[in-house]
Amino acid sequence: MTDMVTAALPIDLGSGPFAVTTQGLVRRFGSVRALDGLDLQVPEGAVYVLVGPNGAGKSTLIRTLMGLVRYEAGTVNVLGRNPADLGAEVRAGIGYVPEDYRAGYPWMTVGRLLEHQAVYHPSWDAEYARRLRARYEIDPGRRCHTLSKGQSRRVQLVLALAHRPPLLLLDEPTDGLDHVVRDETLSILSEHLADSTTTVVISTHRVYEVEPLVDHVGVLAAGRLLGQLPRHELHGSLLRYWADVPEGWRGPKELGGRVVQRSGAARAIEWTVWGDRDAVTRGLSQAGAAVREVAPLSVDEAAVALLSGKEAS
Amino acid sequence: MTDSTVGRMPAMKDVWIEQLCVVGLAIRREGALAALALALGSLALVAFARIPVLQAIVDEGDVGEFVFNPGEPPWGFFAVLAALLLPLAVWKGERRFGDTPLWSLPVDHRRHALLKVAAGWVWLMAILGTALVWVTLTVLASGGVLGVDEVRLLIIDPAGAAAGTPGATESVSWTTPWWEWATPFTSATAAYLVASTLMLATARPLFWAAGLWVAGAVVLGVGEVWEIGWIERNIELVAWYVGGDSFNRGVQLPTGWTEGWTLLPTMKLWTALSAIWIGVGLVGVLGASRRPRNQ
Repeated sequence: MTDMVTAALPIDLGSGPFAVTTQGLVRRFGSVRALDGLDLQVPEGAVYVLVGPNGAGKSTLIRTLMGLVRYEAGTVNVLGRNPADLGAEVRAGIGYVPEDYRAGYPWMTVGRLLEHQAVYHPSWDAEYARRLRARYEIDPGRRCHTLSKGQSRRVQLVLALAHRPPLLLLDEPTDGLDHVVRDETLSILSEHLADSTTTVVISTHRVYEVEPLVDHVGVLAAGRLLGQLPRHELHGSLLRYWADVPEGWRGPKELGGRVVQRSGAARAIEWTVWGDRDAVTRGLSQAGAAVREVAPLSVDEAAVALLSGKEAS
Repeated sequence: MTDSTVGRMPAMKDVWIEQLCVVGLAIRREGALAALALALGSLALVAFARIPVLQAIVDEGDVGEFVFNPGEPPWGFFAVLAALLLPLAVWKGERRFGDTPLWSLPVDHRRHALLKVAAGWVWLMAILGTALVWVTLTVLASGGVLGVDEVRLLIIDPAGAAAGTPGATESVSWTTPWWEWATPFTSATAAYLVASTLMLATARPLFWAAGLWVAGAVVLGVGEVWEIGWIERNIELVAWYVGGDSFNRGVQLPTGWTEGWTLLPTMKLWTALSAIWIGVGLVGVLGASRRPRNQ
């Protein structure tokens, strides 16, 4: 038996300060609402992972923050500016890895592409760019059109990091990277965050690849946020409960809206519930369930549970 | 943040210079091919004009005098053709309606697009100037002459000219005016701006260019079939402006066929057509540059 309902997770992260906020953000493509009243809050200095299935609106959101896509309703604030009005100023403070893995101009060499980027960013750190290039084993003489998907991604990461922007927008940054390079990328990002005061927004549907870096999570589905919260809060309040229950057991009514995922056999349940651990355990026990085990979920497992619920609801 | 340059915008002067460099790199292959073709053509011209063995191959040794007048066909047409094709090279590799590379950089999209178009135009002028100097030197080296100095038969009344009516034709002394040396530059500028408009405004510029070409041919056909005078006159003006064979044609006189001119272009005509077509191109580019790069 598997039954899922949508849990009411928190959306409001408090009063900030925030590097990025959106309120009621709407963007349609024809009859499809890619962003459907989105309220995003990314705290300054956070590593915020935006989780969602394909088509959830992650890339549209990131391109909107870059000032590349116009929005129809709502407000957007990135580094204190509206990208629709001051797109150039906003982009000056952003390191961007787009969903499209093609880096630069096909006919340009990687070395020339790095020089090109340096002209546009007065804060370009040439020595840092050289070090990153060396770590990623990128040949500066290669033309961009000869790069593989993974090599292009590495070049894009160098372009995004080397001007040490206050905000990184990384759209599927590990897409196309093999395990070794992916680990190297996480290591580079960790060192970068240690060296520079940077807010990071990572969009991905493979959270496990970036999980070690993440401290805030936003779960996006069908253009809406199902929840956004600090990782420690997710870790402490979204828990999986294993319990033995009597035949025909239906569960306590007071938990209804907070149950993210139900599964298990007839007399053994496995519920994912949002809420205070003691209160949920007490509620289950009072309803006749014998709770055997309670465990936190990884960000990836939490995202899967939340998104499964959304898709089924 | 400790570095005060973080998040700072680039200087427009630096962006302009970079766009000049990037466009130069983008068009270098096409430029090299054009230079090679020009060099081979020049070599052939000088060789056939100067080497007796080769002279004998052509026209039984009568090579004739090579006359170079940049204001007359086919030179202006070559310049316009180059200008129409150049934007394809200028925007090579650019996702004009995507995210990168140009649009994700910290410059206003409209301004960035216009800077790129302007950089392409600077290169176009440099290429045309170099080609003009090169052809001029080649013509001089092959013993040819620059410009024409001749008497032209102006047809005032075609029917009267055929009937031999006095006053239907007029002989006019014609020397290549200075401004004809500038016509390839102005017509190429207009053509470049119109082609750049298509690049900036449409996702499929070649499709639209073909559509415009067909529409022009239909208008021309309608004008000729129904003998609509204003259409024929305007088509003639456009044809002249883009370096085509336009105002001169064979006319039947009582003494036989000869070459006559329906109109001798003037500086006023060149200025007016330049103002109109460059104006149209500028309005087009300015308007197209406002189009959102990503819907």
